[in-house]
Order: sequence, then C-alpha cells, then structure tokens
Amino acid sequence: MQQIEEQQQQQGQDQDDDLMIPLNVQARLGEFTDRYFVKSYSEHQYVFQHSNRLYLCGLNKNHPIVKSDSDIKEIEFTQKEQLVKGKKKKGGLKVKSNTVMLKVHLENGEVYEVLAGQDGYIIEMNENLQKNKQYLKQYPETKGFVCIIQGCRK
Amino acid sequence: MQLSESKAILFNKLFERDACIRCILRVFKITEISTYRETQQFIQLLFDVGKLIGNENKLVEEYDFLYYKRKREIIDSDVQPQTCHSSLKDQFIKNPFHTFDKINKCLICHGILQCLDDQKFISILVDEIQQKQYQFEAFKFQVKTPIGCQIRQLIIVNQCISEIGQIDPLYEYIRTPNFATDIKICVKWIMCSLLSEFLKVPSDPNDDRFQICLNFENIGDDVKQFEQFKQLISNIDDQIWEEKITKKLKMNDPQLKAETHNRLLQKKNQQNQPFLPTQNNLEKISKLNNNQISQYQIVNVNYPVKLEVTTSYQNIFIKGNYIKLARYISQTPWIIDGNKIYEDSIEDLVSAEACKIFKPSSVKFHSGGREDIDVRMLGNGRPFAIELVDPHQGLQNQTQEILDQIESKINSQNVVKVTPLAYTDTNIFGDLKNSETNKVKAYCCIVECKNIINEDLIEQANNIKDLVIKQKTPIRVLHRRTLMVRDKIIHSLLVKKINEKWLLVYVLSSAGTYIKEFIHSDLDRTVPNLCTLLQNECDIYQLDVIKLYEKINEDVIIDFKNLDKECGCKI
Repeated sequence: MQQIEEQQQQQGQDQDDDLMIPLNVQARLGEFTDRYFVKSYSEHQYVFQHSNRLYLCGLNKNHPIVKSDSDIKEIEFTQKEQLVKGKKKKGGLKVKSNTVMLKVHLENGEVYEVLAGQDGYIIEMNENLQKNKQYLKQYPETKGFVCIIQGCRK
Repeated sequence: MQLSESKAILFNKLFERDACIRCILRVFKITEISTYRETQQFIQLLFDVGKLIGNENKLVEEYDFLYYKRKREIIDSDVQPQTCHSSLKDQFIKNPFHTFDKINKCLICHGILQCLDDQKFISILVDEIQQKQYQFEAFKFQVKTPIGCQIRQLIIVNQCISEIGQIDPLYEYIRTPNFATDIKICVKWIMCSLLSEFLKVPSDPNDDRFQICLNFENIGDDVKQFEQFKQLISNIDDQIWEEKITKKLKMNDPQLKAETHNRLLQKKNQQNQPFLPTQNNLEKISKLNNNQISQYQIVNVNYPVKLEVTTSYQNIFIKGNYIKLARYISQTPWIIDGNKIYEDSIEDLVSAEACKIFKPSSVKFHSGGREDIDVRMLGNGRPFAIELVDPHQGLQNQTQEILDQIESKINSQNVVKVTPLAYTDTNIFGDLKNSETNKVKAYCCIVECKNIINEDLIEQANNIKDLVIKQKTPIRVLHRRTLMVRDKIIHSLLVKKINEKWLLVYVLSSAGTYIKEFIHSDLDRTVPNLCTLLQNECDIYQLDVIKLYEKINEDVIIDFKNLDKECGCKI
C-alpha cells in the first residue's frame, strides 16, 4: 500500500509541474481579496462583490481617516445590532447605500461618518473593529472592512 | 361449501343484488383456496343454492361465467384529477396499463375479482412484466385495492340481511365489521399461482428482492361513496367535540365561558372540509350501527377501475474509498441553467461502469464528507458508497469478478481511483456520517508570505499541540451556510521552509475545519490563524488532503510528523 502511495505522490507531482510555483521569482501572488472579488471604488469608500454575490464594504485608501496622521480614538456603531438567523440570513437590518453605519472620532477631534455603500441587508458588522480600532486605518481594504451585506432579492 | 337454508337465502339475495360469486364467498369467509379458482364448481354451487330456495334453475340461467346478463343504471362521474381535493391528486393513475370497463360488473369489487382468470388479461400482464427485462428468480406480490369496496360491502350485506328479516346467529357473524376475507388476499390466491406458471419462477412472500405490485384505482367512485356519510359522521363528531370542550373550559364566569365556547365553535365550523376516502374515515363509518348503515344507497358511477403494474428490484450498494488525482473535478455534476460548469465529476466517473452492467433506473452517490474542486484527495482515500436504484440486471451480476472489473476500469483512467470495492447495505450510512464528523485529517499546502519569514516562529509553530481555533463561517460559503462560530482543533503543524517567502505546511486537524481560512485568516474572521502564528501575511497557493485517520492519539501524531518523508516534495 505504501508503494502505491509513493507512486501516486510521484504521479501527483508530475501533474503538478504544469502548475509550477515560481520558486525563483520573488513575485507576489496577489491578495486574498483579488481572487474572489470584483472591486468597485467610489470617492472614499469601496464595495467588493464576491462571486457568490455577497458584498464587502469599507473605506478605501483615499478616505481622510486613512490619510490622516492622527489615530482613531473611538468608533461608534450608530445602528442597532440585529442578529441574523439561519441559512437565509433572516432578520438582518435593511440599509440603503447612504445609511450611516459608523461614526469615527479621531484623536485630533475630527468626526467622520461611514456609509453602508450598498443597498441590502446587513449580514455582519466587523467585530474586530471594537478591539482593534486601528485596523480601519491600517488595513482598510482587508482586515478593517466595515460590513458584509446581502443584496436585495429581485 | 356446506349449504344451509339460511346461507342459501342470503346467497340468493346477494346474487340478485349483482355481487359476483367470489365476493359472496368472501363475505361468507370461505378460506379454501380451491373454491375461488375452480370455475366449474360455480355452476354446481348455483344449482345447489337454487334447489334450497325452491327454484332449481333460476340462478344457473342467469349466470354467464362470472358476468351477468342484467344491466344496471349508471350515472356519470364528475370526479377528475384536475378538480378533486388536493390530497387525492397523487393517487390518480396517469397511464393505466388496463382499464376494467365492462358495464355488467360486480357491485362490490367492480370487476376486480371477475376477470383475473381471463387468458387475454394474464397474457398482456405477463408481456408487460417481461418487457421490462428484469433478472429475477422469485417474486413477491403486492396488491392495492380501492377503499370504496369495503363500504359497498358493508352497505349491501346490511341491506340484504335487513330485507330477509330473520334472526340467525350466522347473520350476526356476517354483519360484524371485518368479518369477510379481504379482496387483496383473494387476488393473491388467484394471481400468484397463475403468474408463477407463466413467469416460470416461484412466488415467495419472504423474498424481498423482486416485487410486482398491482395498483387498482377508482377514486371517482370512492369520493362519491364517502360523501354520502358526511352529514351523519360530522354530527357524531360534533357531539364528541362538545363533550371534550365542556370538560376543557374551566372558567367560573358563565358569560366568559359562553363567549369562548362560541368563538371556538365558529372557528371549527370555518374549516369546512370534505369527507375524503381515507382509512381513518373508513374506521369511523364501520363504528356506525347496522340500522344506520342500511339506510344508505350504493352509488353506481361510470368511472372504470384502472390498473397500474409496477416492478422493482432491491437496491444494490457498493462501497469503497476514492482518491482524486487531478484538480477541477466536482464531486457531483455541477449544472447551472442546463450547462455543465465542469466536465467531469466523481459521481460520473465512479458509477459509469456499474450502471452499464447493472442497468439501474438511477444512481445515488453518498460520501463521507467532500473536498473543494481545486483540492486533491490523496492517501488512503475518502469513503463513499453508490446506491444503484432498481437494478434490472442485478441478480446474476452481484459477484466479486464484476467488482474487480469495475475497479480496473475506473483505475485505468488515471483520474480517480477506487479501492477496495465491496457490496454492503444500508448500514453504510452510519459509517459515512461518522467519518464526516469524527475523522482526523492531514493536509499539505503551499503557502506564500508577504514578508521574510522568521525562523524562530516556525519552531514555535511546529511545537503547538491541540490548538483551539474559532472560525466564523467563511465568506466564500456564507451565501448558503448559517452565520455562526465553529470551534475546531489543530492537533499538530509541520512547517517547512522552501525559500525566504514560501512555505510547505502540513496541518493535522479535526473534521470540518476550513483549512484555507486557517491559512489566510479570511479577513481575521478565523482566530488564531497562521498569519498570527508566524506574524506575517500568508496566502495559500494549493491544497491537498493527504490522509484520513480514525481518531487522534500519540501514534497518529508520530505518523503525521513522518508524512514529510513519505511524500516529500522535490525540493
């Protein structure tokens, strides 16, 4: 049985040569978000649509919060939290693209409102923002996303 | 049949009311099988009965081999599949194999027991069965009959006995419900020996493999017959409901009590449901006393009895373990809007050869868990089972040689391999479910990091044991899975450096862990993850499932650490 296993591994490796990883080239494959998402940007925010039609929303690199030197003092969630249940994610909060989801207070006193960015129902707000506020500023397009939205049914 | 005068009088009455001889024998609960089959005996019987009632030849003259010369008045039926109650829709037979539409047929059984002996009928029945080309060495015979027959029997018997007017212990026996032999048993007595003569195989009620089922349907008549009883039964039901409710209403205030009572009464009367022909309602009717039943008339409708013949063979299960050597093969055919997204699927590749040999009506594929499309399945393989539903050529092909043939055919294609194949039964489902939830799995993946890797952290990662991770439902499956946090365990890790930014990572984890999300953290929705362990940004390039283990123990961890030598990459 072991012999057969090794043979199979060999065969598997041979087939893998077509997909050879670039061992000698220090190339970057691309972010996780490049692989599954179709990206669209507005002036200060982004909406990434996954191939399964869920939307990921957040701030883009041009937002004043990200560009500012000052750190984030506090993030205030302006909408009531509603838990979704079940496979069909029932019970989510219905939002429009201009609904205010967060109010962000910076150390230097400035206050910014963050919009939802897409019509639909909120599946999840990013809970990591409560503990790691700086993610919103440091990794706005990955770990610091704002929310995941399910589009309205047509 | 031993005749006494009271029996003969009742026999004559039933015969005059157009019950066929077999039905009369059933009512008298005759259990000698030969009496139902010997048609020459019937004439002698009619002669004997005639003698006892004083007119020897009367009955014989009116007899015409189980069919009658008298015709009755019939009315048209308006019960059609499109217009009847929704719960009855499924019971209508769409393509009947045969319809019994002779007008002069028995009042009780509607002709079912009258033409089973007919040579023409038997020959087309046998042709129909043989056309389907099954292999079998014995058969089990099943019958379904319309439920209205029992009502008509009750009504006729009670009416005849009331007309006779005499009091006799025999009549009291016959009047008790469920005294008579059932129609189904009679059909079996007559048909089994005839069919086995023509099909040349014995009929064995204990052999479950091959089943022949005759389904007689006559819903139009059933509905009309049951409708008659609606008023009487609903009155009785109302009485019972009243008694139940007055016990339940325990309020002291009489006005409140009356109001609640009225409210419940209105609610009950709103549900105006028709009285449908079901087993439940049949039992309610048989509890009525004899006088009540005798008042009802038998409804004769022009809706003929339809017959459907279905045959089926017991399902065959084949189990084994499969290995997937190439990527982009889905487990079951993936079809959106009629287009196949990926050409091959494991289900097709594994069951194609078995289908050609056994010729089932359909195939079901069951497996103990599944993997993504772009992930290979290596090592000792994942357990699976295929269920061949209704195999036509199952009898002689269920051998080990055929299994070997199937195995070599699948393995020769070099895409999916199976080993070892064996026959099994429905117990396999418990094992597959167990495998999905309990087995510990070893994976191998190629990981790329954004920054230069810290070797001390690799040492630390290799020493972890039983790390508990919390995974939120990954975004890529969030559209069809519930949003929840799942606790999983990473039993062990083996991280090897390929160059400054590339790693080879072996993971040993509990069942159901999302490995890709453990590696790239899914936007930090899986914690802790490889990025936090190595303090780097990681992304996964490719993934393989290497081995399945039964459960975690020390030997498994030692074996896991040695997997690197067993199947190491060429670095």
